Amino acid sequence: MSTTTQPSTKEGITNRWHTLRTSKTWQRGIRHFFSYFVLMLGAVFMLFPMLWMISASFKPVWQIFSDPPIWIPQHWEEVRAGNTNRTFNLWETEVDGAREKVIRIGTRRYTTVIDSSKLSNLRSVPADQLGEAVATNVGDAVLNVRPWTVDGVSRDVIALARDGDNFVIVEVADVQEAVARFPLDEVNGGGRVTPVVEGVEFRGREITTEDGLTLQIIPIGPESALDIVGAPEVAARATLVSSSQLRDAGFAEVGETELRLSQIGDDDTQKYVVLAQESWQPIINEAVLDQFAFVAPRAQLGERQAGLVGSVEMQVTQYSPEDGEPIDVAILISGTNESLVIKVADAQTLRLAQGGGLITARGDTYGRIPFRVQDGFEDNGETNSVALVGDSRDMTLIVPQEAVTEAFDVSPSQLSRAMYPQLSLSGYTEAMQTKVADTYFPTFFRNSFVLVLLNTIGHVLSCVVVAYAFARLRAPGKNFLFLVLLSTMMLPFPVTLVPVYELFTQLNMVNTLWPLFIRSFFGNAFLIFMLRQFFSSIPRELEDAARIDGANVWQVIWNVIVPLSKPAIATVIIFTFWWTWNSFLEPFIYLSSPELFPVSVGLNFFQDQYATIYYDRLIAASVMSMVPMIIIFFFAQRYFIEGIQLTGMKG
Amino acid sequence: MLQRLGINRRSTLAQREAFLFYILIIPWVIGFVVFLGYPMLRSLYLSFTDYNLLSPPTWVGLRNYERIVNDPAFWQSVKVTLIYALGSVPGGTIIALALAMVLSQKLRGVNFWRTIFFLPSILSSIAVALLWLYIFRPEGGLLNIVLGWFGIKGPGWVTSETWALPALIIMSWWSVGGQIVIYLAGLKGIPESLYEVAEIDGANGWAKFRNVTLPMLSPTIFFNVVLAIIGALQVFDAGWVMTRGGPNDATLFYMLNLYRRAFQFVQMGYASALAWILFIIIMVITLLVIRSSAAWVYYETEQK
Repeated sequence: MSTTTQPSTKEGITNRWHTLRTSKTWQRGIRHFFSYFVLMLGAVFMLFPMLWMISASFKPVWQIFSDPPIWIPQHWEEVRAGNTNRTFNLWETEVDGAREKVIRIGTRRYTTVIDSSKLSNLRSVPADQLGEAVATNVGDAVLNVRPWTVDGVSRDVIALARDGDNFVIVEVADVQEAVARFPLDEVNGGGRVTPVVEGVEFRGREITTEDGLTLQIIPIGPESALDIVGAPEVAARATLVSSSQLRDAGFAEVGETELRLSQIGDDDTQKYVVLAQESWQPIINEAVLDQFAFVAPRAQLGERQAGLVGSVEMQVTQYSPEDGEPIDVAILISGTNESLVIKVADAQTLRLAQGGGLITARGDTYGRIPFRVQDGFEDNGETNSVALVGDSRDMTLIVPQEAVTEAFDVSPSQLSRAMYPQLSLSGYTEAMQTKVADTYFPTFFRNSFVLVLLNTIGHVLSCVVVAYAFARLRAPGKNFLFLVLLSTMMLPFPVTLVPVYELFTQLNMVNTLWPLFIRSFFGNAFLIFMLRQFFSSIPRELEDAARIDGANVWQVIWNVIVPLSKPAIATVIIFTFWWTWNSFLEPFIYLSSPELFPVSVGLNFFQDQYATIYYDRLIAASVMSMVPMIIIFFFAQRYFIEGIQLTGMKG
Repeated sequence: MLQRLGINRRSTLAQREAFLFYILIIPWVIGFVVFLGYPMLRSLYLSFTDYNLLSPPTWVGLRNYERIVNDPAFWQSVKVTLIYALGSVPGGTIIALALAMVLSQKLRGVNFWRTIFFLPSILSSIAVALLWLYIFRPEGGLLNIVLGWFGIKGPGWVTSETWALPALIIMSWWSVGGQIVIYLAGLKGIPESLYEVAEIDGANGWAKFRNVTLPMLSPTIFFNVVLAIIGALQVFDAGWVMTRGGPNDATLFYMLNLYRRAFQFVQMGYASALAWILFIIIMVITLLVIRSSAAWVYYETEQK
């Protein structure tokens, strides 16, 4: 729009001239502000979803759905528990004014109690005078404080007991000295007593404080859970023992809190702190299983007994082959008539994995014996597919009591994850290794590229020739045919969907790539139209020169027209790439063998199979499927735009 | 004699040129006949038959059409598809037009903005659907998280019967980049002099838009609207990936219904009848738009 103002000769008054100019500048300012505002809105709508998805593709699965959102992919710091493959995540919390990294080593439940000897000024009031309870901090304890409203005056009270239709209450101000937070296990460990205060009998407990005082307390709640945290170094001394070996060994003060201790069997010289009690599963690398495991009929297996294989207790037995010496084998998967076994000597890499890391295992079979496989399992810096073998068992991670020197309680809200920004590539690497309908993702890419190549060859060969005819040659009926060509661009494709499918069925081409590229060798109305417009703009003289030299029509097309039409041919190639890469319905209809799927169909199957468990991989796969188009777009945006403008304007 | 020879030679040349023309367009003619002309007639014929691909089609007259008209799924699919078109086409046109208008001003970084707006429209519908599926997730989806900041509890979007179709419509607005490019070219084609004349007549921004931009751009808008309607009525990919037509047929697009009949139930005759009904619906709507265009499309030649 023109920003020049009208000639000043019209009005000679400088003053007005000035006003006009400032108002124009002002208007332009508003218009620019408005324009940029619309652009920003548009950019947020157009760009943000995509950036969000790209960011998600670099996140582990739990960050993809976290609320509040984690905008930038993070790495959650972790430490290994001893020499196991389990890790503890690190948390950050404030300790004496400094931020420190800790691990969670347990939880402890607390409740609020009242010292009955300090309780006074009780009242009994009708229930309808009390409002809703709100958990409120009083000192370092939490109380369920209710408003007590009578004669328009509201006071904060707590309810202590029921008295028929009435509640026995006490004002918060009167109990501030009397309340405290106590560990629930200590409270419950005290003997039952029934203190009487101002004629009201309470159910209480008798406990002994650190100072040796005996108190009668009334637990009034609410209960709260606090996390017990300790220094990360504790994890390194962790060992894994079978839960059945552990005996309870009472409580002990550790740091500023109290921890439940355990001992192994009857050995009470060494006490342990329990870090975690979980289900663990024996695993073995799938490659090892594929190489060494074999199926043995039940009849050839001896009596089973428990035995150590590597570091894991497994069922072991003797296998007596029909010809040969008996050998010691470990039973990996036990079936009714036959079992999957492995020589003990070959199974030294057998190890335990914590069950939580194996929840996404897929089913597989060895012969007739089914088992489960976890892909992308990480331990000791390696990523493997591991087979789940044998039975899961309850295991406990313990550390010697003296290893835990510092430990204290914090409320969960005071803990924040110890993280730093880091792109996780596991979604990508695992997506490439994930079986989708019996095939792997790179195959889909290969198929798409093959189709792009074939369609490009087809379109360039056919469209150039046909467009040349329409651009240069005169013939009766040409205009009519050109009109027909243009009208086919608008034709809805569903009308031909069924008969064309029937045709390819009769040609035995269903479930081959043929239906997806053969038609490009017969031209495409849109591309023919575009090329024709371009060819028409090439001066005829250039052709005539070649003709005089004796070139025939093929030579003219390929030696004169095509070299001059590189931008138009590029547009043909790019549009072919675009359509082929993104086409879904046709390959979806024609193909049933996964090894033929192009990316679009493969992605659809990926979603069907894994959207619930491998969302990180699904998103990474989606982003990968976009990458070729995005690269082409940035290098050849001009051709997209010109092609769309040309046909969009004139079609 | 010479003259006759010359005429002969010229006519031979013309004949040879015409002959060459017909030779060169053979690929297209074959393609047209085999993959377009014949299939259209064949599908018209099939629409009057029962056909399951295995045994030969049996003539049933108008029975397919009768069954379609009495099928609630058909009417549901027509309703869903029309609502989708009514939401996606005007909304998309307004968004594309607004962004193109802004971009047509001499702002800094026009190419940068154009790239941003154009990029989504080149991505595959499957990847785009997966992207929006993530945005629309009821739990942990970005849209509901953002709504939560304003105290709004977002719906289940694609799992909700009420909101699944609006979600798909919103998604369709994301891919209007092609239209923006076309409008941008159309706006560039409007002569500057028209605006100058309007300014001299005292027209303000809105009046200039109303009296210059809109009439001059109306043929482009018209063409785009027709194409967008045709596209919206044939949408399949987004509905298939995001909802499979659910929940409870709330997003059963016409093409999803057709796909089910043709390739899940293998009722090729029935599906052909559906295809022809869609063909007729598209033709009628296109004709209606063309007829109405006389009232709102301005062609420069009219005034000459």
